[in-house]
Amino acid sequence: MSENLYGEENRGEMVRLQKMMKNMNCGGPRPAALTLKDFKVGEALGKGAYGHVYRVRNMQDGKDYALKQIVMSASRDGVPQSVIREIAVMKRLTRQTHPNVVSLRTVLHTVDTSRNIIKIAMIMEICDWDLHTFLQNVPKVIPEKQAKHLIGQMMKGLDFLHSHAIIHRDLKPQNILVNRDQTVKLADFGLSKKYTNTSAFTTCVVTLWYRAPEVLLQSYYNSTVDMWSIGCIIYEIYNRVPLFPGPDEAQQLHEIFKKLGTPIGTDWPKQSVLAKDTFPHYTGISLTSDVTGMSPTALDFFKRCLIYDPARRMGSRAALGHEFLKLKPVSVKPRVLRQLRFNNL
Amino acid sequence: MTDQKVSEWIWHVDALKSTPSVLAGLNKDQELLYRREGIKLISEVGNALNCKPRPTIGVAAVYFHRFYMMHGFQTFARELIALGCLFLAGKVEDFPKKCKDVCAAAHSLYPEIFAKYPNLVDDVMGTERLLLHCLKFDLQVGLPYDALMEYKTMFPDMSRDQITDAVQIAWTFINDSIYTTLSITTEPQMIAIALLHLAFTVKGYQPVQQNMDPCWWSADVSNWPPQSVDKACHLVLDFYAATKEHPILSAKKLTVYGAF
Repeated sequence: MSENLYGEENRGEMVRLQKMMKNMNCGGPRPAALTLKDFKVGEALGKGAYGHVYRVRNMQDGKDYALKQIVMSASRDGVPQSVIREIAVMKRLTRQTHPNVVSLRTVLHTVDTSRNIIKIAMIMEICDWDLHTFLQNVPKVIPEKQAKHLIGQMMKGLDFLHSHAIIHRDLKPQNILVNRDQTVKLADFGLSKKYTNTSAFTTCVVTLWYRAPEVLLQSYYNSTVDMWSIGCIIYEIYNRVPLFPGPDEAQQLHEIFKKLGTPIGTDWPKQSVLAKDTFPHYTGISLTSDVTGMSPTALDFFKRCLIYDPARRMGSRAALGHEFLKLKPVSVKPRVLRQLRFNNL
Repeated sequence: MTDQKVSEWIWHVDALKSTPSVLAGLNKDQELLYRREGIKLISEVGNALNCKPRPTIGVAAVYFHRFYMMHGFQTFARELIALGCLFLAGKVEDFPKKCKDVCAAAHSLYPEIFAKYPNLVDDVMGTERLLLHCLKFDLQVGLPYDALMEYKTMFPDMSRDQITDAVQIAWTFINDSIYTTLSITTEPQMIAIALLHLAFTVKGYQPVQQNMDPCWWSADVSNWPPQSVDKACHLVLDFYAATKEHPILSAKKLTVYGAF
């Protein structure tokens, strides 16, 4: 009997236990910190607002990642506060991952003191397509089930960010990533346009099509700005053309008001830099005929995203529970007290 | 050094015996004094700028202690690192202070220490970049206060006045613990436990009934013997003892050991 305990049939179990022990905190030495030299740079994947994104291969694990480089100048008061805060947030998120948020493998940075330039390289997981490309390559009519699958995952990722007090601020089909197995992952959160357009060496015009009116009017805003973007993206999923394709910053608000009507009364953002009478009074048009593929619940969801007043617009938590998605919100609020083990004699 | 770590930012107590400063010739007590002086600068300059112990000064102190686990006092001047930590913590915790205000406060509070820095603003901004690099942008630091507030509600056998009193005393202990190396050897939650335990002991309060496990923390931190909790408390008590006779920076001058 006792021979059998460590006999052949238990070997698998033993190996599994040994592996578990190794993975525990007290296990062997940690792998050395990665540097840029560990990555072989491949083709450019895209040109973001803040720099290029490349496919890179990690020579240590042989896997491919996306490398995004941000180059910024130090301002009069050192490294911009926004950059510091956002990278600190991303760094924290490397410890708490969510299946619908692109995970950050590591952040590397170099400082060129002589030119007063700071370069930050983010190494992230790589996905097959962005939503923009994905939508160009699927049949024109999207089944509601598939749309729901995409939107539900977007909402789960967004709810995770919001519950960690992170507002994306720049959601758009280009930074929503889709894999072959139709998993959706939000990317580019944290480094918002609002914060970096003055400090990043940006050569690329950033699209304003998905931006909420209160942001365009530089009024106060909260996490529901991301829900506005979700509304615009839902329209695009069903209709394959952008909802508010404003040609430039000045025209973007006209584009919105022409379709939804100029906001009146309390719907006009209170701290807006522009007075309401700078805009003509548009009455708005019905969008329902554009989105014939939508079920009534989907349409209700879509409309709740595009409510002018941020206080009345649907939040991400409410969106998960909406009749259209019927998803259970998962509480992800980090707990303060944890189970610890004393291990420091 | 890596094998002397419990986790990325928590070191084994033994690591304090072979810090970069010790390896470069400072003895352990001298290093602890240097640490206290640096923290004093953070605290006083921070106070002058209306920074609070929670979070800005507390976070800056953690940066400071972590930094000197990677570099020696002989290589990097603690007065500059202190200001850099304070400046950076302000940004991270969203109470940003202008670099020139930080430097002006430092010059006016400690003219002698900062006299040799005519371009202090540039030096502090350079320090900020050095810190970002050394701290690996891992700047969101937990402090013991949050855990302390959670524990406040967990003693049904104590009167409201007693627990409020104990928490207040523990809060002060946490404020002062930044002068010790607790934050780099002990998780914030464990610091909260130890210093709340110290507050109970100092006041003679019974946190749990006689027939219960006196180690009220054992549900959260397993295998933490009372002697070891007391050891953590002694770090703070030692600090009070050491500074009672020799207040930190009382002459507004930094202590200098040996010729570097």
